[in-house]
Amino acid sequence: MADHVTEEDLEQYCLGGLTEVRCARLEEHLLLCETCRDRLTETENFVGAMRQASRQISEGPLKGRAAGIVASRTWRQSWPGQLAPMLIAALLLVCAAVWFGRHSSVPAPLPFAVELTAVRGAAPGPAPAGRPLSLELDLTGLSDGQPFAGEVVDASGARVAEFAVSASVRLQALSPGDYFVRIYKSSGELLREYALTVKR
Amino acid sequence: MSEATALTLNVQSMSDLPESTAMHEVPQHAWSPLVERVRAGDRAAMEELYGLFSKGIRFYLCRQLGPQDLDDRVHDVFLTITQAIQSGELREPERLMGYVRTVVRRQVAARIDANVHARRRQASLDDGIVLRDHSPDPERLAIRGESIEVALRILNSIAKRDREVLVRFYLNEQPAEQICREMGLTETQFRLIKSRAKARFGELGKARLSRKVGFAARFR
Repeated sequence: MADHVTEEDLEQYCLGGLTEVRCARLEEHLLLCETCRDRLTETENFVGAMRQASRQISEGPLKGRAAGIVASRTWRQSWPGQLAPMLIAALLLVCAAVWFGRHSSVPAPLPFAVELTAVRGAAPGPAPAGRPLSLELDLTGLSDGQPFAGEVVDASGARVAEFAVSASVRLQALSPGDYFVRIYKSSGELLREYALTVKR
Repeated sequence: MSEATALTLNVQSMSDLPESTAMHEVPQHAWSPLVERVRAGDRAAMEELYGLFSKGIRFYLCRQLGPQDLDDRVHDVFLTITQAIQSGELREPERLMGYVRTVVRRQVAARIDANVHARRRQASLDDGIVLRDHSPDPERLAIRGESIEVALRILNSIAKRDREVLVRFYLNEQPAEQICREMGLTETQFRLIKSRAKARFGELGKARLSRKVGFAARFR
């Protein structure tokens, strides 16, 4: 009990990747250890920021504030050298748009990323209706030793979608309304519930 | 979370922890004597129990359920624990910590369950449903934004390969073994990439905070 929690375990706890046994040991330690509670808060902040920043970077230079700043700086510094590749890219984009216009009746909208966090007071803003959703689930504290089931219910409790739980879940577009995303143990015990509002 | 807590990141590996806190800060507890005293109705023992666990329980409940009615919830947990001890439900006193954790987790599950049922009842009575606004407050949003900006600076400043490691681990949640295997890294190299990023995150966070404090001091 005297040993503090390792950085790896704190990270895995934030990412929902600890086994049940290690999760129990860590949570029991946190009950008594203020140092590790502070370290968990710091780790959570780091992991959350890293995840968000990685997402912005992965989504490309047109998305994300800082990535946008980087892109504009690069443009100012060396725009003549980059003009040709950009023109080619623009041309390719136009061709792709024309091709899609001919070959698909309805263009597939990009999924909208919604981050659902287990920390109350940090729920996301409304998601747009009519777009698929990419739910980023905060699995902090859930162990990976067992499978979890997930569902989305509407305000009346009627199920509108089911999914296998992972950190990132793709959902079909939802109509406007209030929803709840739930995570269950395989035994049926309700573990988490996140509010989700979809607006037109 | 205060700004200072969020930005003053004290990134430490286990070996970096000062010796006084690394091994000796959390005392070893023999739970049996304490449990026996609580069982016997000793008020001082109950206070000792409360003093030992209340902060940890509060921390857990606040993370899971938010700050609403926190004092009442902590009180409920203690009531459950002391009643269980006094009625002999806790058969193995040495498992006290595990028992406390179980009670806290049950409390969280019960609260979520109660919310779900309350909402169902409300939904059957009303046409609409009122959701409590869980949007982050402006301070929290600003802190979060700053943290993300720091993380972006780090990711944009490191080698592409290191960035890939971090993206794979933190965003795609690939296991360390898979990342090491696919990218030809040793476990030590993998850890080093992560710990460097963490240390940099801490340094930049601290630097930002001190700049802000200095800036604010000029206008005082």
